[in-house]
Amino acid sequence: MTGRDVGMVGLATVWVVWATGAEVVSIRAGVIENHVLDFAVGATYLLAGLIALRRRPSNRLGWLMVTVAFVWYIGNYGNTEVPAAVSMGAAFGGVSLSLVVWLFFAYPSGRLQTRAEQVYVAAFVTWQLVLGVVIALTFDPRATCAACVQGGLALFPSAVTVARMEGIDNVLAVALPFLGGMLFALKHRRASAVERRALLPLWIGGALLVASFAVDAFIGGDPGQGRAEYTLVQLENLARMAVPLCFIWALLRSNLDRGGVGDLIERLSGPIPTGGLRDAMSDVLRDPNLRLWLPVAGGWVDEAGASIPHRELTPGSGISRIDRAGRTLAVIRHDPAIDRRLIDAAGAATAMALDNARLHAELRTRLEEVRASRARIVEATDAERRRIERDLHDGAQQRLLAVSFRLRAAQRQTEAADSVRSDLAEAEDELRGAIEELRNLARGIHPVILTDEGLGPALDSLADRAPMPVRITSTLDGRLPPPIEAAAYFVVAEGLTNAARYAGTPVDVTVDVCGGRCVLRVRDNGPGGADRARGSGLRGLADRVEAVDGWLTIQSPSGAGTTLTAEFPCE
Amino acid sequence: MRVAVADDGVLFRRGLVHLLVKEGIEVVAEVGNADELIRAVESTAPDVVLIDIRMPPTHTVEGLDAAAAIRRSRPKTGVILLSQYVEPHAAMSLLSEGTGGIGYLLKDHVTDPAALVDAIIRVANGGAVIDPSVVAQLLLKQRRHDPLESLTSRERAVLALMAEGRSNQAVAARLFLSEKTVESHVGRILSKLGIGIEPDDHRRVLAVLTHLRSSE
Repeated sequence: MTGRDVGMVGLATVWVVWATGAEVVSIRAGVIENHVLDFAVGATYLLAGLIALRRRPSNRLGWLMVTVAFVWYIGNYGNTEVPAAVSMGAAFGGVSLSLVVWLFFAYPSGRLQTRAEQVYVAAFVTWQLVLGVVIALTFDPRATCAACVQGGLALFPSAVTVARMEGIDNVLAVALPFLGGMLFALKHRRASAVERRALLPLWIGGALLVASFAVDAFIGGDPGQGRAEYTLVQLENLARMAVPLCFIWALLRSNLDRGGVGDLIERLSGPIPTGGLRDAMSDVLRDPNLRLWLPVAGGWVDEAGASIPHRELTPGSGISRIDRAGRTLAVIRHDPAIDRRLIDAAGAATAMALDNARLHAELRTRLEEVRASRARIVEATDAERRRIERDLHDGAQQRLLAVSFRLRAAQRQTEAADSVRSDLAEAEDELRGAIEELRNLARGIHPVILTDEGLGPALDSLADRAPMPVRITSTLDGRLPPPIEAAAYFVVAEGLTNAARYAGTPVDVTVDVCGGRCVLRVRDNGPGGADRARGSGLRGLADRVEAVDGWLTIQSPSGAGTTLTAEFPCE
Repeated sequence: MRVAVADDGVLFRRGLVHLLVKEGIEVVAEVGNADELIRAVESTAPDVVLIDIRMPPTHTVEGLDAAAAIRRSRPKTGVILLSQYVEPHAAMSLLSEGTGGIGYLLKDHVTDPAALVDAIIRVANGGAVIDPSVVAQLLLKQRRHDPLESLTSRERAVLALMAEGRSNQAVAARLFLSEKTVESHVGRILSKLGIGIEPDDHRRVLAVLTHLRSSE
């Protein structure tokens, strides 16, 4: 038992004596009220206050509730024969109400959140204290009842002052609850979903309290007189218990929530889809807007591997790290009202799965990087091929053609000897062969028609040059992204080359563009039996296709022809 | 004969102009891009224009666009497109739009002065000229049920010249046949291949090329 526990037991003991005494006084004085309920109000405040002090010592709510538990009975002691107690009871019986209002607004953090709330609560408490002091100094019970004892502190008895103060108090009794209701509505609007759930009992209690005050002010009768008045006071007492009950209920629920963490472990024992971890945490913490990020080399990513700027993850209210063995496994953004210990429990339960998810996310990020770099390599290669083709076309080919003109012109020089002319003719033939070879080389490096006119005409051109009939069936309309066009072109080119080499039969080429996918087929009726390992050509082709997020397959059962199929995304 | 030449390759263009002048053809303009060409055609009104398909700024189809513009503003002007590559479909798209007076030649074939001058004259007279390489490539194709198999070697020779855009008269001269014989060859070829008789020369070329390109 720690010193704090001893202190609490002491406090509880003192309270039991104080409260029991108060009830005994009330019973003996014949006060008409439900004494059990009156005792219970104080008891719930004490219980909730002690629990709060024990579990959240830094939270002001605990001390406030314990204070209410004591102050609540000052009024009861006003029914004794001791003059000072009579004065105190009459003067400060109402102070507990202002403390309850304070509690309403300070729940659950213990602090008043806005300037308006601070002013309102300060005004309420101050008014109650001022009223108490003035009443204590001026109220003499004998003025209204001959049998009563003298108010011990009434140094300046004045029935007029008392009546005035009560008049002001009656006006405030209407104004203050009205203002309070408005402020409380604002508090509700500010609150997050989680906080709103916690505030619900307060709303009910607050509404009851305001309603009973309103009726009280309207009837304006003496306390303890009449059936309606009696019921009203009991209702008020019930309403006052809203804050401590609320507090106890919230604690119970957070225990229940932590019970949900057990389900979390079970739920995460099976295979988890991408995003499943976030969903599971969101369910257990009851926060639909929860976000989850995982650390990877050089940054933070969500479960799908998408990265997020680091500055958005600065720890603070609503951002929590989940650590294990000195390493951060994840960061979650959540409703700031969620109990930190619940988050820790959920974090502990999900540690293993989080680590798994982190590895998966890292893998996905890496894959994405590799994919992007492969696409860049292919793009760079294509750009380089275009440049080489352009250089050949604008440079070497033009020069050779110019030489060809010169040779032709020389041949037509009538004065030249026949032997010279035949030499020139031979040289011209050689040159023509060289130009032809250079042209084919340039086209092999990069087909100009592809960049100029697109995939459709480029495939037609391939078909024209093929040594066997090629039938093209195409739903292609317009242009596709250049890397896709290049990949598709080289697939068909390779397919036709192989068909010419191994099959020698007519070839069917189909291009099917549908729903953002482009499916390409090159089919011959040759002997089949080809496989992807046959040449580096097909492997390189597959690399090119995969670099644009496509795939390439080859079906070549022996004796049943060969089909080359490629599929690309083509938005 | 008045001719304009458009090609951004200076060496090639100089060579081409040199050759034309030697052959007694008047070169009224030589330019390096499509805009200059269109202005030159407006001011000099040539009979035939030789245009490189690829020219600045993008080196793609500036020549084709310029050809279309000239055909619109001056339909009588003959246009010969010069290409680095054999592209039958480009030759055909040209034919399918035009009304004759159109040619498609490979650059390495224009170095033959006789062939070039012949082509220029034919185009100036409203004929169609297709580079023999284009036809040769299409004739090389093997087919499943090849109707070309049913042609005699003489008929194949006539077909090739038809596809290049030669008139019956020219075919007759080339093959040392009478025009009457050529006419009967042409009739037989067209019926064997299932091609209808076309009124214009260039329509006939188009029909023959279309047939040769089809793989059935």
